[in-house]
Amino acid sequence: MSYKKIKGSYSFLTIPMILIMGMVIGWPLIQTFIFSFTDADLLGIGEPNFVGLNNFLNAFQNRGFLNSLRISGIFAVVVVSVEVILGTSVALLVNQPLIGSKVVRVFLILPWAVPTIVNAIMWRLIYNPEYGALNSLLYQLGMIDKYISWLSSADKALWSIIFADIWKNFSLVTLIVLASLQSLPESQIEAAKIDGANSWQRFFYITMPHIIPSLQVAMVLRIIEAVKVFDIIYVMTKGGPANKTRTGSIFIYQEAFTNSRIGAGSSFAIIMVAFIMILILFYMRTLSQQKR
Amino acid sequence: MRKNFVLSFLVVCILLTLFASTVLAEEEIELRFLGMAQAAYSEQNVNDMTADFMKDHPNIKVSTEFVPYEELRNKTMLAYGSSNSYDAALVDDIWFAEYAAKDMLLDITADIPQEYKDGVLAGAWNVTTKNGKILGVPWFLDTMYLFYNKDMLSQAGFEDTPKSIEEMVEMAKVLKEKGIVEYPFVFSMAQAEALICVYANFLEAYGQSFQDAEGNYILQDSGVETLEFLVSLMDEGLLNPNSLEFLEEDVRRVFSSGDAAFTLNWAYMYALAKDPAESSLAPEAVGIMTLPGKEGIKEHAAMSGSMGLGVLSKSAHPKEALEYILYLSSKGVQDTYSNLQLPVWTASYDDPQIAAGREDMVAAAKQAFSIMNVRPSEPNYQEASAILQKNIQSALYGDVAAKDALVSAVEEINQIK
Repeated sequence: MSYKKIKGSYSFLTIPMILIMGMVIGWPLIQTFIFSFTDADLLGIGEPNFVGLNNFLNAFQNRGFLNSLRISGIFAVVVVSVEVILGTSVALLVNQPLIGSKVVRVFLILPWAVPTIVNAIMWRLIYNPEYGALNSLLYQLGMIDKYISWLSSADKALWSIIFADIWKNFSLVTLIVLASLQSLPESQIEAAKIDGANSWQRFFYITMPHIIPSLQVAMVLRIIEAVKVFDIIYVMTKGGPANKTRTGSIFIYQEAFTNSRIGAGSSFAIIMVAFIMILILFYMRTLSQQKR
Repeated sequence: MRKNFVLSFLVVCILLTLFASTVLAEEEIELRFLGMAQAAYSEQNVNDMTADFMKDHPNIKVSTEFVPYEELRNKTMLAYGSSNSYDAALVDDIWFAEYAAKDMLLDITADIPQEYKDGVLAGAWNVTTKNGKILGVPWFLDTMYLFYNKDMLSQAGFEDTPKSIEEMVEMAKVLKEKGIVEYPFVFSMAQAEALICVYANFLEAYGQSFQDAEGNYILQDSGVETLEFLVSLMDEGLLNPNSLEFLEEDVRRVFSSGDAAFTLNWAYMYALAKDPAESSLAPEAVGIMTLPGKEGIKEHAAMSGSMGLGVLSKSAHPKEALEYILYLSSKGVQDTYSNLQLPVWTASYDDPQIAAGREDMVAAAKQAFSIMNVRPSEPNYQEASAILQKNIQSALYGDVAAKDALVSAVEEINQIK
C-alpha cells in the first residue's frame, strides 16, 4: 500500500483533534468576530444590536486605542531588536570552546523557563523604590545619589518593563541561534581560514548566512509575542502610570472587561489579530523559504 | 412464621437504608464566595468564620476565593456573565449602583432580620441600599484615616495633632527641615481606585464634591484646588514621589518602617502598624485620627470606603447564600474578628472589650462614621474613575496643569455618560 493511501485511510484519526481545536480556538475566534459587529455587553444583558462597522471606525478614532498601539509598537521594536542583537552575540560567545561555556548554556535556559508572571513579580521587587535590589546596587556603585522610582516614573516605566522582558526572552533567541551554529560544519570555517579569511569575513560570509533563517524564525516569533504583550505589563504596572505603559492588549482588556463593552473590545481585538496575522503569514513564508 | 419475620426484617432494613440514604443525600449544598485579599478582614479570618459556619451547617460547603481589590469587580462580573456565577460576593460601595443596574444582586429587603435592621449602624444600610432595595448586608464601614507617627511629631516639638490641612502641612515642613523624615507624607496614588480614595478624602476636606445635585461631574471647578494641593506636596518634596507607584500595602510598609510621618489608610492598618512582627514602630508611636479639614471650611473629613456582602441573583442556592452572609456579618462574628476591622453593629461601640487598647481608633471611627461622605455611586463609575486616575496622575507628574487635567477628565467622562 502506498504512503498516500495509508495517509488517506487514517486521516479520520485527526477528526477528534480538529474538533477540539475548533472548539477551543475556532469557536471563541468566531464569537469574537461576531461580537465585534455588535454593541454586546459583557454580562450578556439584553440582545446585542448589530452596529455594522461602527466599532471598527470608532477604534481608528479612539485616541486611547491608537496610543496603546503606538506603545505596543515601541515595545515590540525595542524588545525584538535588542533581543536579536544580544541573543546572537551571546550565542556566538557560548558557541566558542571556552571553559564553562557548557554551564553557561544550561543557565541561559533559566530566565526563559521562568513563568512570565513570576518574572514580572520578581522584577517588580527588584525595581521597588524603597528596598529594590537595583536601587541598592546602583547606589552602592555610586551611580545614583538617591533611590529611583522606576515603575512610577512616566519616562522610565516602559523602559523598565522592556528591560525585564529582554532579560527573560533574549535567551530564546540565543538558544535558537546556538542550535543553528551547532549545525554549521567546522570544515567550512577551516577552509575559510586556510583561504586567509579573517574572523570578520568568516562571520559575515559563512556564519551569518547560515544562522539568518533561524534568526528570522526567532524574530517573527518574538515580534508576535511582543506585539500582544499583556501579562508582564499587567502585573508590573497595569498600564500605568498615567497610561504610559498601556499596550494594545491592556487597552482591549480594559475595554472588554472593565468597561464591560465586549462588542467594542472584540473589534479592537480583531484589529490586533489582523495585525498579528500579517506577522504570522510572514512567519509561514519564512518557514517555507527555509524548507526550500 | 419465621419466614414472615425474616421477610419483615428485610423490608424494614431496606426501608431504613433508603431513608438513611435519602437523609444523607439531603443535599450537600455547595456555595462559592468571592472575597478580597487585602485590607479589612484577612483571608485567614474569613476562612475561620466560614469554617465555623460550616460546622453549624453541615449540609453546606462553602468554597472561598480571594482576589486583590483591583480584580474583585471584574472577577465577580466575569463569573456572573458565565454559567458559573458566585453565590455570594464582597461588593464595594461604589459598585452597588452598577450591580443594581445590571440586576446582578438579589433584592433581600424582605429577608433581613429585624435585629439587623435595628442593630447595624444606620449609615451602613445606605451603602447597600439602592433605589429603596436592600441589595447587601453591610460588612464593614471604613474610611481612610490619617495615621501619624507620634514620635516624629514630638521630636519636632509638636504635642498636639493637626487641626487643619494647613497645620498638617506646616508640621510636615518642620519635620523635613529638621531632617526627621525626608518625605513626611506617603499616599497610595498608583493608577488605581486607591488614588481616587486619597483624592476624594482631600476633596472632602476642602468641602468640595465630585458632582452637582444633578449628578454632573464638576471637578473642573470644584476639584482643582485639591489637586493643586497634592501637586504642591509633590513639588515641595513633602510627598514621597514613590507614592505614584504605591497601593495601600506599600504605604503601610513605608509608614511602618518609620519612613513617613503622615499617611492615609484604611482601619486595618492600625493593628498591623502596632504589631511588632509587621512594624518597626513602637506601638505607642502609632496615632490615628480623622483627616482634618481645610481651615475655615470644615473640622474633619471622611470619605466612605465601605463594603457589603451580596447574594448574586444567579445563585442556585440564594437562601443558603443569604444565611452565609448574614452569619459573616452577625454581631457575634464581627465582635470576635474585630482585630483588623471594627464591627458594623452600633452596640459593639459601647463594648469596652472591643475598644480596649485602641480607644483612639474607635473614637476616630465614631467621628468618621458620623460625617462620612461617598464617592459617586452610579453604573459607569468604574470607567469614570479610570479616566480620573489617568488625568490626576498626569497632573501629579507635572505633564499638565491641575485645571487642564480635570477639564480633560470631565470632558472624557461626559462622553461616556
